[in-house]
Amino acid sequence: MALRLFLLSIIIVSFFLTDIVVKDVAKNDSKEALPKVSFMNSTMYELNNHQVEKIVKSKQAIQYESKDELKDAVLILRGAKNTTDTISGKYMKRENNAYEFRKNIVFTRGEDMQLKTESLNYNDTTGIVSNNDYFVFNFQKSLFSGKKLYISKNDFAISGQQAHFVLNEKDL
Amino acid sequence: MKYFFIFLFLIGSLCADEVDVDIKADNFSADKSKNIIIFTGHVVMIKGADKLHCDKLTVHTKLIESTGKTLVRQYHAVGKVDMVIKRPTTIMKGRGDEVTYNVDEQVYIIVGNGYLEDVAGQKIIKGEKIYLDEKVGTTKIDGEKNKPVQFKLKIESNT
Repeated sequence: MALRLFLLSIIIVSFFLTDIVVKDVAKNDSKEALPKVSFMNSTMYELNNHQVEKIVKSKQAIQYESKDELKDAVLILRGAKNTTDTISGKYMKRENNAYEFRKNIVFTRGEDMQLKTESLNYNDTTGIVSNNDYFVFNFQKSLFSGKKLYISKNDFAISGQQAHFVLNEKDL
Repeated sequence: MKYFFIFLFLIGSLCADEVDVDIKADNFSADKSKNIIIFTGHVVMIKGADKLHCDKLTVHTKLIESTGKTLVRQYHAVGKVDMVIKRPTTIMKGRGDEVTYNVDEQVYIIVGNGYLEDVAGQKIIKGEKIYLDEKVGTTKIDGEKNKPVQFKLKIESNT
């Protein structure tokens, strides 16, 4: 009797289980997780008609289907007016037009300007720079520090929290 | 990153008269299109020997097109405003619900529970609206029906 009940319960349970759609999660994940190309200790150059526009150095660069990941990376960006911006960080990710920078991020422009923070996001489509961490921005002898930085390129708006400014008039 | 520069130039206009400025606040925002910088929450501004505490400080700036420089037009402090202004011969202490300082006119306007003390001159002024003209060196006080103007002089006794 007990065996019959057991078999009957298996049949009933299996009947309901046949309606559950099992998604092929593992297959999708593995597809996304598989890099298309990867480089170790690489240096990449991006050229325009006039000069080297961008130099990307990293200990590891991985290109996936829809994103790029860089570890221990340094980006050197050369502007039209001979400006050189450098962004370094432990981890950088580019997905479509969104850039993510994580850990030990240092942005420098020349010798006068430096921004240090632990996270920074930049969306090239919206023109918004933002983060949720503390940041310290030095401009010559002036200091500007705070948390939750937000800069909108489009409407020239800047905001943040726990702001502290020490401004030296000689810098301005 | 050039927006940092824009922001610095906006902020830099705060110290246009060659004195370093130290500002702390819980929140800040700057809007270049409106030429304003807003600091809110426990705002402390120290400019040389001058100090200002308030809940909200709005700095109105203006762009001088001929030089490309941004200068401060007006400071507007709101909420538990407490300020100390050091002058060559005295120290002025002020309090009020709102304080406006018009830079070009060099006039302070204290509104709401206004209090102004000339420490060296030992004078205390209380009124609903106090005008302190730094250029001319005059003070004008407006009272209200239920809050008349008070003027106190501290006189030392010889006895």
